[in-house]
Amino acid sequence: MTYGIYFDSRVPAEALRQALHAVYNVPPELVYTGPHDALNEHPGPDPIALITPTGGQFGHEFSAGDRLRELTNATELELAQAICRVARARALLDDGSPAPDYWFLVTTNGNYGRVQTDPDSDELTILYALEPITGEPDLPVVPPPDWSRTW
Amino acid sequence: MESTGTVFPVSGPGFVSLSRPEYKVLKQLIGSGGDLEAARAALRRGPSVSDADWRSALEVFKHHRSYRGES
Repeated sequence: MTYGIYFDSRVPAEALRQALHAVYNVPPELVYTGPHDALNEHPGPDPIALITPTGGQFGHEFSAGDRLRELTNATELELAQAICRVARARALLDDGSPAPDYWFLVTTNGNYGRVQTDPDSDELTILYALEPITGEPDLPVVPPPDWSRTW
Repeated sequence: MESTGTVFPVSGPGFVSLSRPEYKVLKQLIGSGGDLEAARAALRRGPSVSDADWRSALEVFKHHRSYRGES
């Protein structure tokens, strides 16, 4: 399985790495933080997770695969929730539906719910929530009509 | 259709569903102009890409104009 999570840019990448270590005991030297095109020059061991800059409000792209799964035994959502709670960050991750602009938003206290991102933006930008999300009282909620519900 | 009115394809003739790492490989192949060696080098240390992802992505990439006939 793979992990593809986009964390809040306001939280330093180092805080995300430390949260991964605190919750799952992942050695920090196995988590690469930096530009993707500099990865091959990274002198450390081959990483099991990457945190690379991608721009925008959710500008930390976290990617990992089976090796991280073996270490954590966590699903993508569980891992996002754990890191968000410890690092006090928000995150976006795939909601599993075919809709490209529907995401799960995970809040700083680990709650989550579906949001609609802007299809016309190159960066991940939340337009509104598709359902009420505990911990996000300021996020407008626009429940979708039945014909656009994918869950 | 999304709530904004955006329409998205789900299936159909010529439509191939790719996983996230397969798509990452395909994007790299296209970005490398079909240079398989360069693409492999760029993703060499990526922890989320497997050999199976390369095989799937290459099958799709064979239909791209940048494909040079390598495998």
